[in-house]
Amino acid sequence: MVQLTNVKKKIGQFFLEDITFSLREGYIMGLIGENGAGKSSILKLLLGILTPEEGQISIFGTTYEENEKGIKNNVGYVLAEDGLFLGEMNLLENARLFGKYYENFSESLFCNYASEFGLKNIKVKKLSRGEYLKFQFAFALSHKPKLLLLDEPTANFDPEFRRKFLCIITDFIKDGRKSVILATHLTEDLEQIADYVTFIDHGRLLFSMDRESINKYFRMAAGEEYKINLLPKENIIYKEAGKYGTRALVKHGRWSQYDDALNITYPLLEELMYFILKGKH
Amino acid sequence: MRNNNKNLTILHLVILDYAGEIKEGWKRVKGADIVLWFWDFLFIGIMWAPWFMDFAWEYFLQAELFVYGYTIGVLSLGFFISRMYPEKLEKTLLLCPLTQAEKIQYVKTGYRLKVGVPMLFYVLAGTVWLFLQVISPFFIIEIGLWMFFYFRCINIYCMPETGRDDSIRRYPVKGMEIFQIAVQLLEVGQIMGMALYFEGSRWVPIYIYEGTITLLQVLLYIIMKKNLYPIIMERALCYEDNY
Repeated sequence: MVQLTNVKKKIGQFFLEDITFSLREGYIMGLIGENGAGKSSILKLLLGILTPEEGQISIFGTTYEENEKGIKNNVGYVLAEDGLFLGEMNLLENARLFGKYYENFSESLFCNYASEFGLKNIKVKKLSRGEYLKFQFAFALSHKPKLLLLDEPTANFDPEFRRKFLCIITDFIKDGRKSVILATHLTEDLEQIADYVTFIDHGRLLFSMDRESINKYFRMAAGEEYKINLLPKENIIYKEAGKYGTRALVKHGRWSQYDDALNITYPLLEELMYFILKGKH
Repeated sequence: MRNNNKNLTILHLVILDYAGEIKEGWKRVKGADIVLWFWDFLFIGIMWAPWFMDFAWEYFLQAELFVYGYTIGVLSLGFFISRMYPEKLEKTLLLCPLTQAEKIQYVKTGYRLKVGVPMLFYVLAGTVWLFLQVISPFFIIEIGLWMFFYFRCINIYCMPETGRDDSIRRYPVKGMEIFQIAVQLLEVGQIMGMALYFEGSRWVPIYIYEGTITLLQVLLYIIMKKNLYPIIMERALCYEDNY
């Protein structure tokens, strides 16, 4: 469904370099990385508002050069940017106005989502941050997209809606023909829903793999420091001494062996992100 | 697009965008360029300064004073409209499933509105002036051309190259703004000159003077026209750097 191949892009002083990953239909991908890593830029490339200087972006088996309208008809988005809708108009007026451009826009569907999300039909400029993102989400869903591109929405949602949001996007992909890319630096939500994780740092791709592969290739080891030090050095990505012992992210292989005294677990995405970045910097 | 009348939809969007831009437009007017300050403040200052008024009442027709005042009103309105660039909606439209042609149409419609509205006022005013015979036809053409250049160019050269920063501007022709100021000064000179030196037998020298300025304006327009269209299109097509 989505394929980026050796994509390069310069945006001011920032470079995206050799970004390659793919996402099949029916899956959710988490795009993780620190603030300013390049997650939003990748989403903008996928939305066609930035064009790559090198490499290719293919969505639904076509490119923006070939069929921009076709792609955009099937892409829904939630962006962190302000001013995407007319502040002086209310939600329904905005949805009607921009919905005209989408082949599959359904006003009744929009109203249903808006009501489900607890949105009042007030002027867009009067919405809080969280409400504004909910409105974008309702609008995105109401034109029945096949791909949802979501840029850090959850941080602004209240806990109740966050849960609902995760349920909605899990349901969204259930028919196996739709996909979601969710960019965030808050990995807690991705633990529950992401099938694939793509990790970006300073415009470079660190890895893009499915959750099984992450669990296959990485382990968190916790225990006394001297026990950690006995692990092969080349396998330790980063270790950190804490109050209750030392923890280390290690590369895991089929033949890896660990001391019984060490507590070996699958890494959480947050741990993975933290330890890889620490190890890298 | 489900709506069958795309032209109307795009015009509707442009108008809505302008409506939403009034506050922003006013902010930009307040921090606008030297041409605007010249017309709105310096020129008005000269026009309505007590010493000038004494002098004007003596040598000018009352109708002429009204006409100059009206010209300033039209120009000010034009300047105001020209500062209302619809940036926010462009962002949203770029995300909508529009074809490249529709996006270009949107940008063009915006430009046409910016140029068309003040020009419409001007044409209405010009008709009254011609009817009253208070101003030479050359003067009407000259000011009209100047307004047309200005309102076309301001939309482009006020377009920031990056980040929508008003301080970064692109000029279709190098030194264009200085040239425009020079022309305005000539026009002020014309008003003063009309009263001081050409009184009595004023029409022949005034025609020569105004005719020369008009020719200069036409020349500037020919030079700029070559540059205008590619810049408009470049902006419409390569909007990403402004996003």
